[in-house]
Amino acid sequence: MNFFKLVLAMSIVLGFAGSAAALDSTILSVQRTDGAEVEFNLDQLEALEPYTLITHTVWTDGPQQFTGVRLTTLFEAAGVKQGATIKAMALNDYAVELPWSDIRKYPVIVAYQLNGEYMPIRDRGPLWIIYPQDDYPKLRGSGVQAKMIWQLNSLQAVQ
Amino acid sequence: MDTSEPASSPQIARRSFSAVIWLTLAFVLFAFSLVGAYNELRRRDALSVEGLGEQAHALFYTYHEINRFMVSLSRYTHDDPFKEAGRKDVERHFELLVSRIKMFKAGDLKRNLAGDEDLEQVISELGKAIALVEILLPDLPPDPRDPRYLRIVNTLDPLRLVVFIQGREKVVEISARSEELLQTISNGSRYLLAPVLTAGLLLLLFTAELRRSRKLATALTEESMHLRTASEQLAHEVGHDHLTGLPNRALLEEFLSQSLARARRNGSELALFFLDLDRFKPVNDSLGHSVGDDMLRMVASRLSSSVRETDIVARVGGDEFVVLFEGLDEAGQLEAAHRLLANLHQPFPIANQTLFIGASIGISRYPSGGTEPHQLMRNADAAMYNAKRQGHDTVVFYDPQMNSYAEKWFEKEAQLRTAIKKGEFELHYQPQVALSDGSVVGVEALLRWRHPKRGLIMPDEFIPLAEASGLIVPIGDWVLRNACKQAARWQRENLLPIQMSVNLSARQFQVPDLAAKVVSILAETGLAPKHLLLELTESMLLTDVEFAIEVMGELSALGVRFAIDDFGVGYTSLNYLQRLPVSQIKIDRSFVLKAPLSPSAGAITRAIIALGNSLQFEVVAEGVETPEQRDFLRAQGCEMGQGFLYSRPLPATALSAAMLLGHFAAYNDGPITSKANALSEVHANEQAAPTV
Repeated sequence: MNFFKLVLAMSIVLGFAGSAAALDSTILSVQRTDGAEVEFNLDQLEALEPYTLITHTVWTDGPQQFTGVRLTTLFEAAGVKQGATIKAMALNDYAVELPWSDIRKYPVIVAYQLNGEYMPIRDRGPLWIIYPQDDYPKLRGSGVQAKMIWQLNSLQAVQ
Repeated sequence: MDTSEPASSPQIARRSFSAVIWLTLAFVLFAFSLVGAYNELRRRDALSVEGLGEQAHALFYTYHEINRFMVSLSRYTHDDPFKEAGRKDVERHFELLVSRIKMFKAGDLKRNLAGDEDLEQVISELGKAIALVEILLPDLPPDPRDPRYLRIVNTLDPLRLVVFIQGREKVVEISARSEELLQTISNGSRYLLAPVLTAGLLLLLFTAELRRSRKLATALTEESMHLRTASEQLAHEVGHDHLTGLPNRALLEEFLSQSLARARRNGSELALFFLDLDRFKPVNDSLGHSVGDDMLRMVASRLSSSVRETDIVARVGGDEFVVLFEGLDEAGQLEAAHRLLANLHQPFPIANQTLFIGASIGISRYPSGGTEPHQLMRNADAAMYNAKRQGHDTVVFYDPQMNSYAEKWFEKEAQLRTAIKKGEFELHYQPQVALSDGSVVGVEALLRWRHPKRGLIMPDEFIPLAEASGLIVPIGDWVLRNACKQAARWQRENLLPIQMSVNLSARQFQVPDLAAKVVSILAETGLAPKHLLLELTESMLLTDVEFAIEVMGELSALGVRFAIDDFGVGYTSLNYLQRLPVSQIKIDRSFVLKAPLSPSAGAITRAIIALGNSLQFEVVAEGVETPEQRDFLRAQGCEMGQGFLYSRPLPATALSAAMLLGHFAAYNDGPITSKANALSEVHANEQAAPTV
């Protein structure tokens, strides 16, 4: 994995992320505050340190196990420096802003698996931002729900 | 005042004991009622607005996703000139729609659904519709007349409206509920007096809860206001066309059903005008989409300003508009239609130019033209097509006989499809002569369809259909191949080293391997490239100038020549003309016909001839019918012409015979037909029709 991080870091330095084949299956693009864009395919996301959390959500029945990458891990890999907010956008044009404080204080993840299965678009996949609502009762409520954006396809760091 | 009574008197003790009991009883009673009130408050909080808000939100998004799916589906199946959308878009929007509908099947949305039978039924219908689309979608061809496409549209379209209406009802319910909640709490303060006297602690609890609820209720009212604004905005966005700000098809359908309900109730007049712009496509193609967009906006504002405030103007397609009139009788409707047309006839000053367009209007009236929204729309559309066929800028009222029009269209398309195989197409050839001596310089190949029942059909009756269905490409290839074959034969027979002009359609010109195809047809038929002259229209060249330059360059390097057909009606800029390897321009027949009589047509003709001569193009006049026209053209320096004065288009054998007889070479002062009567009588069934 360290090797992968090195490759990723190098490809970012060189100004392109991954081969042409990898670009084809990009599922997430991260825009840094300097305007540079870093693209991730599923393999690249899975190569980052995984994080699993179990929580209820208002859209599902019963406790759910989400596996993904912590946003802090992702941003570190993409070379995103701290900004004021993150603008998250979805395939269905839904967009929402996530404050940096949320990401720092709580293990907020970009989930790519739900209960051990990859998520197709029709099940809110391929990526879904998940807040640990069970572990932190403070995070329950419609404000945080609005930030749990599904069908995520791009993140943009705003200074 | 009895102060001597001891405080511990049994009577008093008994009395105070019973007071304690009563007090306790009262306390317990109040406590119960408080607990009840408390629970009631909590229940209302939990039930009311938040759940409804989520439902409204989810419904509006569902509506939105259905819309988006249908738009991308329609773009995929139709040849939309404004935007390209592939199958991938359709599939993605379908997945997004499925994900939205699945939301109602788990979590809070599902729980809130319980008991709401209407909504439960809508969701179940949506589920069924999605399952159907899922089956139909994988094999769906990009064809708007495919029955599977129609089935999808007919399934989703009504549901879309139902979802929208359900969403709106939820928003209304939210306001009502939050007001009710505030009311309940305000009324509750009357009961506060008793709890204050009996149970301070409970009172504290109660008031704390009350305050929380009041705060929540106020917040919810705000939230519902917010939600209502958002939903109105969303409704406006999805209900209006972005370009012109007019209501779109979805909103029009709502207005239409309301108008219909009024017309039914009051027996009042209702008329639906379906308006399609004439000559808009050349503007859009040759001057660019931004000019086209400007023009559509101006059309929208002209239409809106030509009607009363209560009349509805909507944009339902690229250059299609609908106007709804209530309370106008037939004469008033006709007057309104002519007022609309007159306003559209005014010049459009756009991008430093003055442009002119027109419109065709079809009108359906309630109830004779339909009693349901879709009937009125369809019938007005059919009437509009009739207006177009009657030659543009006209108004036609719907007549039930038109009903079979669509079916005829389908039938004709099926026949057209088999016409190539059955060998029903023929080529006729119209000579192009030197105006100076009448000698034949070349011929133009013109397509005819010999229909087994209807006889000979002119291209303007079936080419639009062929273009719409894509059949134009195989038909065009057939024309090119057979025209080249005929030209090669004439050369072999040593009749004349004849130059063969062949019309290319816009669709053929866009096919990427056009150059390769022409090369292979030339090789196959043995015609030398220099004898082939391909005719293009101005709009075809300007749709994609760089592409045109590339294709034309490739072919002209081989020796193939190019002509611009119908010159003068489009918007060709001289700049482009010089960059393209064009060797001939053909003056549109409309100018030639009027040239000797109308000063303006004469001036345009003169200008085109002068332009062509100075750029060293051959100039060919089309539609030369009288000696006066020929003399005028000759005097202006036009060297070539074609038209009925010389010869109508003739089948190859008849033309061979005429050429063998030397009619054309000898001819100078009278029409060929007078010298070769026998030839033209063979084709007497051929109506004098514009050449295509």
